[in-house]
Amino acid sequence: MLYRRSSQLPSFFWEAFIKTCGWSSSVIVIIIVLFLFKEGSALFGQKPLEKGLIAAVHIQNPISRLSQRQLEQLVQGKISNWKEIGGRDEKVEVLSLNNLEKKLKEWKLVSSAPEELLGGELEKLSSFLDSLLSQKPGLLIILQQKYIPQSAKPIELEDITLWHFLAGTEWEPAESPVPSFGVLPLLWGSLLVTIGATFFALLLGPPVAIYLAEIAPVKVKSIIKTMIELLAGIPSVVFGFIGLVVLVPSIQQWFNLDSGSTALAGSFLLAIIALPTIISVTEDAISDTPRALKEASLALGATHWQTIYRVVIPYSATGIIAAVLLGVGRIVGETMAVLMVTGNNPQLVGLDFLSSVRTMSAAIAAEMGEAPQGGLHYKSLFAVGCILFMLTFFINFLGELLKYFKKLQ
Amino acid sequence: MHNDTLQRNYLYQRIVFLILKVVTIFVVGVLFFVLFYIFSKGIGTVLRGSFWIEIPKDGLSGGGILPAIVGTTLLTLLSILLSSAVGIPAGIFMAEYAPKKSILKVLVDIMTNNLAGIPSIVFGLFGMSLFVIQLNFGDSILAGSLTLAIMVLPVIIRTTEQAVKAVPDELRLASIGMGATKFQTIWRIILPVSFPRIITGIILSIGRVAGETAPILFTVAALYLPQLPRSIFDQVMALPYHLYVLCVSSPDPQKSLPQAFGTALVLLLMVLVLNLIATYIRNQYKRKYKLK
Amino acid sequence: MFKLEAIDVNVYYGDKHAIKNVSMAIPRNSVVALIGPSGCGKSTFLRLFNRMNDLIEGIRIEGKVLLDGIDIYSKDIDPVEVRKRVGMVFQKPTPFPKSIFENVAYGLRINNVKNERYIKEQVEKALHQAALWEEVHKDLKKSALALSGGQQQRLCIARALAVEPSVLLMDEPTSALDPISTAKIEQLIGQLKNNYTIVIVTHNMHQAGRVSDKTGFFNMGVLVEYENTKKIFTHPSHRETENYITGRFG
Repeated sequence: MLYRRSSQLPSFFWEAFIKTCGWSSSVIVIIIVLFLFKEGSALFGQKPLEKGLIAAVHIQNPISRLSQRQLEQLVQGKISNWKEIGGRDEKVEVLSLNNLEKKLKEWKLVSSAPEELLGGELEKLSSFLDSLLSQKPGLLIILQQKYIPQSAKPIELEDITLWHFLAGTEWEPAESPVPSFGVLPLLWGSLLVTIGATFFALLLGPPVAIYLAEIAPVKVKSIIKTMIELLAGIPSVVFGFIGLVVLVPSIQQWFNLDSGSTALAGSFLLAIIALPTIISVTEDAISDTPRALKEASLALGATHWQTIYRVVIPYSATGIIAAVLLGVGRIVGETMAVLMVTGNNPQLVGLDFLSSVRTMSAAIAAEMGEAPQGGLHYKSLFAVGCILFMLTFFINFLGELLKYFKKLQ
Repeated sequence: MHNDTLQRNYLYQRIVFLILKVVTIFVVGVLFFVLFYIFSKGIGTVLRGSFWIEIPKDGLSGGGILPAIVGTTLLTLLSILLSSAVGIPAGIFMAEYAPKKSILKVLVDIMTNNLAGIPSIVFGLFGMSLFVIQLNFGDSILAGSLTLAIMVLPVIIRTTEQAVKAVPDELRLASIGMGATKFQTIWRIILPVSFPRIITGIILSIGRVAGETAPILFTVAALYLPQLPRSIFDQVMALPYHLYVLCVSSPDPQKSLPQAFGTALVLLLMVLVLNLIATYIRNQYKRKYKLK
Repeated sequence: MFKLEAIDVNVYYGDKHAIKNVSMAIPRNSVVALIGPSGCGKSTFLRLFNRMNDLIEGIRIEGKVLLDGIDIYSKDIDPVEVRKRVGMVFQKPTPFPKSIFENVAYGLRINNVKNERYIKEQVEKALHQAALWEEVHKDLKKSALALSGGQQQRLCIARALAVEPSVLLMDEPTSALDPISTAKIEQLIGQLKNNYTIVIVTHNMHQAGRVSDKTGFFNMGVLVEYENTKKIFTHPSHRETENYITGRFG
């Protein structure tokens, strides 16, 4: 009777199920990383032109290879003569389907409709370009393969590089024919808003936590904690909405701006959103201070505040920093509130909190809808997602590490 | 100690405590302001009966939000169901099966925290890439619910884990001492005891799921859809996204402002009610088991 | 044959040698008390008999523990089966947060007993045996948590008895109770002796003297003396035992 029975089948099944589910979070994280990085890394190694487009120059142009940076500068007119990049002394003219009509009118080659010249289906475009090239040898043509004339040769373009993405200062992913994928403006937007939000959160969070943990009467404490829990439950889109109708107009008035949609508005909103996390984790850290330690200080004749300041806060410092980091982790990735109040202008603005910025999360939310699936823009947004992922991972990891060390103490 | 110094210290303490109090009042004030502002401006819209049962009309400046309410309800129910089905067993695993202090436990812990820290917009990207495109669900309730379920999974795992860990060890030992297997102990003792706490956690995460916008942006949410969904492969409108749309891409944002306040109030009421229910269950539970 | 027998048992927690080479034979239908100062290993020793020590991480057990002549630590033994035969009552009353009836029925339910009539009979019988029936038979559906501490402990005893084990282990069962409840439980132990073999760990020397037939005195993981209770309390053969019993240490 004491001997081992064959294991009961139902409980064996359930236990297997429980153990399988135990791995779910790990498996999901791995799949997320896989998908994110697969799509994101596909940006690199691509030509910096939309699919099917080819950049071509006159067959006698000595330039045969362009970096992405050079291509961007040529298109933006920042390089206006081929000799600047080692070619002949010829003026650069960029021609693509986007500006074809405009250019032709500018050069007074057509008066009204270009169909006569180029044919209804653009079937005469190629031969027309042949003749145009002989007049304007500095032409840079960015068109589909079938329109490239015989007197032009395709230029070899260098692939989009990680460096270009990370160090690029322009984010114009929808620009045609040559988009720019410089993530710096977005990264800076996120950082700026985060810095501002951390400032406000530090100003507001720890004081409330200290008040709750050390000073507030039990009843007041439980009421305020319930309220803070409520605050944590309010969806960020509601905060974004309040920010849009209250905060943004106020900022516009106070600082006399054209628009109140600024990094400042985003910072303040995010601070409010992060407060519940910061307050509750800080309060836990402070409450963890051993009673004996506090009593020892009080017994030496220190006032309550001196005890808090000299004993409680130093003791719980790691916990407080961990709390702030966990709050910051939330701030960096927060999307809807910033999307609604920061104005969404992807620009490098320095430390100017009164300018409009676009954060990484807002860029993804705002642009993904318009990015053609599988295109460069789509991939670049995934690359931004990767950076966001790594950033929050790093910050949260630091926070967890500190909490862990705190436990060891 | 000199009496003067003591006096000064007390004065100093009074000032600091006052500052702390003021900051706390400010934070609580912000919450009250948000609640009051939305309540006063949205109550008119919400009290209009048609707001609850009509589809949006007149370029989003009139009618109601029924499709968004239905959409959010469906998305929330489905995702919470999916997430609980995996998250509750996973939480039990963390609390009861994963060997304590082992590398395995640390690893799973790190992964769960990591999952909890991923920004919601990244879940949106992932959901689009896997469910919408790779698995070809398209923009659908299914894709959106799966994405939301994954987002809220770590919350449910942690809630369950903590609830299970809070069950006193004596009960475990008593049950095992009776000759119960580990699984019988979990099924008959630990789960019933921790159930109210698990439910409380799940109710609170309902609020989180229902209010999230970023994960559903590219997986399910429709800008405007004047009909109710017929299958899980349909798109739906959702409350938080509808609020966003009303503010940002409505044809006339000024005219649709009352609708926006109404929608925001509905979201707030939802969070309030869920919090009340959770608090109620928690208090009942504390009374029943005389726990702290 | 003895009901329970420990032969050359050693227990280690990591580096700590908690039970040192202990042998003890416990006759059928007797009450054996284990006494000794805190941390002497008496609780650990008690838990050897239903393999509750298995749950502790990093524990190592050597030697043999026989139940009805079968070594319960041999490889093909299911510890769960052992625990069904060897009931246990803990220091703190541990009623499950269920009704009184369901608490007592728990052991039957986990054994997949489906016959409700049989369950009802067993619950009633166990509650009678635990001298609790009179006090609770009117509200069997009430939560067990509403009972007093002493009633809860007797409920736990009833719960252990409902599956008809042959051995009952008690780990300081009265240390959390008031004197009246303690007296009731001691009286109960005297009655249960007729049908069960009982091993009880106690801090209370008088209790050991009142309820047990034999007493074992542990110190520092060693079984110093194991004798008839009368003898050990009147003519202990070891100095250590005498010192402990007369209250000079511990």
